[in-house]
Amino acid sequence: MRTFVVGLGLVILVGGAAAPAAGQWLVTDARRIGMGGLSLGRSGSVARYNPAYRAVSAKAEQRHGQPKLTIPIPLGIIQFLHDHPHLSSDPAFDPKSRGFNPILVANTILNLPLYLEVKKAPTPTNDVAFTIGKHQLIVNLGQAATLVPEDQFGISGSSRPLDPGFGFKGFRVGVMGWLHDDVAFQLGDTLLGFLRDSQPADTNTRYSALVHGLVAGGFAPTISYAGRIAGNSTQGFYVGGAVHYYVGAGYARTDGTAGFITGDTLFGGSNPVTPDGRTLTQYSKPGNTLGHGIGGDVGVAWVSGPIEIGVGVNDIGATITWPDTRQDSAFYRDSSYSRFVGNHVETKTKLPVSYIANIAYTVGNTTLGADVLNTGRGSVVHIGGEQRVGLFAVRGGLARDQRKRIEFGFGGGLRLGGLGLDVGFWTHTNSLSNQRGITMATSLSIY
Amino acid sequence: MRAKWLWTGVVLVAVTGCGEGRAILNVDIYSFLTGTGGDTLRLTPDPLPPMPPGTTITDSIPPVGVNLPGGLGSSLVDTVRVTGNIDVTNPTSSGSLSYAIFLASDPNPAVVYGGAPALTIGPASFPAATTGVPIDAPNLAASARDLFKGSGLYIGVRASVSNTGAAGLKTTLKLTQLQARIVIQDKIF
Repeated sequence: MRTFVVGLGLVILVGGAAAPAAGQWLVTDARRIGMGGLSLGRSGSVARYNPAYRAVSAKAEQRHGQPKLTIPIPLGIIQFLHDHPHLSSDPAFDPKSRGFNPILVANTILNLPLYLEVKKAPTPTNDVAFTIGKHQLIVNLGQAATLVPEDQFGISGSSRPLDPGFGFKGFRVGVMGWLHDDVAFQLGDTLLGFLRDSQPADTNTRYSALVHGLVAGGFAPTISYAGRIAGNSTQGFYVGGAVHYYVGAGYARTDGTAGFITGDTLFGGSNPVTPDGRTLTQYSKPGNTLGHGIGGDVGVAWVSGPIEIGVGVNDIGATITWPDTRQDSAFYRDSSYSRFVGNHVETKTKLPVSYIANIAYTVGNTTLGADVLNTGRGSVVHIGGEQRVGLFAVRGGLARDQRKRIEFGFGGGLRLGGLGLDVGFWTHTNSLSNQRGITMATSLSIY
Repeated sequence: MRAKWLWTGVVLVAVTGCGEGRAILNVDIYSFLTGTGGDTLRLTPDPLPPMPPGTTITDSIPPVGVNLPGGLGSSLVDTVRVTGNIDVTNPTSSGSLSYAIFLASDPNPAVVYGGAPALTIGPASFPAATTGVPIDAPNLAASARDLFKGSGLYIGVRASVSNTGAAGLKTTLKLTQLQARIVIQDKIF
């Protein structure tokens, strides 16, 4: 029972954390946080998703006050270790302990304690009510019902952990590592009605959710070009493109449903519900015939005096064909059954198309900017700016995450020659409250 | 009992999603009693003749199981309020009723009826006509409250009827409602 409880909690936690994890919270640059997560020039997400930015000179980028290197100072870890002084023996973090709390562990991983919590968001109070009878179960989650997702929710990511290579006159040849993960859930109508709309549980009824998980990885020999095709270093039009030949080292995916079926009596018998799961699992292990596919990135950037605009799209047409896949169906009811479906089967996976659009305006000591990033599961928007006054900088910004929640960033910096100290504050809210908490990030900048 | 997790999972959703809050369980105990005969006591039991004036008779039901969600071992049960109603049906004389409800984690009648009752009603007088006697216990004792943290408990009912009238008394005590409102602090872990 506890396994299920924990599992369901994790699902909700992961679903709830998915958007900020993808959209905001992995940023460690206090300067960027102070501007609401805004990416400027070659910083942050812009260079990753827009291949044209490889040609935009770093010198031109320094107009935005960009440092060459940012080193995070994770004060939040001190706070975390203070709260958990005996981490190695803390039962909440020990899987062998009865006090093991995977929800706390998952929450710590999904929200790495890099930032210092300077103001905690007030925890809302919400009573939940359950009506229980021999043939009756009704759940009223109160305000918490709004947390139950009506649509599909999940986490999706596409990363390029390594990209070694060499270049000549704008051309570049390299080998890029790639990793794609995708986890999604969607509650079925009966389970959704039960949890969200307080519909009574019914006997002999299946309550389930669609589940999907995929992880794939490999490498991709890449030829790319980035160059200025018009203008000069202060006013120019840049284009970039890359062609990748994706080589898949391995992948695994599962698709199916998981849930339970109620019995003749909800609370009367010894076994009123039966867990029920059905999935199709497909995998191509490392060592099997490699997957393959072709895709590309394109991007443009226009720099004209104080204005800079860019658009980039990644992984266009990136479909990976896996010629050596094994397929198994799994079925669970009381105990698990697995049945071989096929081997050496050809299957395909698709990398999500990601895009970014950014604009920056720098005049004198003032920089303003905005960007929109979509990595396959909704758009994240950042708008922010910085005003530099002598040694000091003042920053502000806001962001709209994938859940369409607005958060604010503000902060400042002190620059002494080639070294700077930045502080950024970031608001965050609990799901059921409009009152915000504030976290603080700090980092050193080298100019 | 693995099947009792449906609501418990939902409690967790609320707990993880909503921070501080209470879980409130409204358990319809009557739904477990009805159909088992445990909701009814015939006094005097058939085929015995009516009880003479000035006499008292006591009878009880075999304990009946009440299934609960369970999994709340580390939770704090704040309050268990029990409400309900007993109908004294068609009494042939006036009288007085004492009604006790016992709770236990063991189905053995000796265990169920061996301890102190979780709540008592009465003595309540009734006329020679069908009368309703309300049940309202604002909060059970801590030992009784803790029984609601488990995945099930057993309920026993013991009633005593005294004949205060001049005629012989025969009646049926019928429980028509019995509900428990359990307020739990959110310490699932």
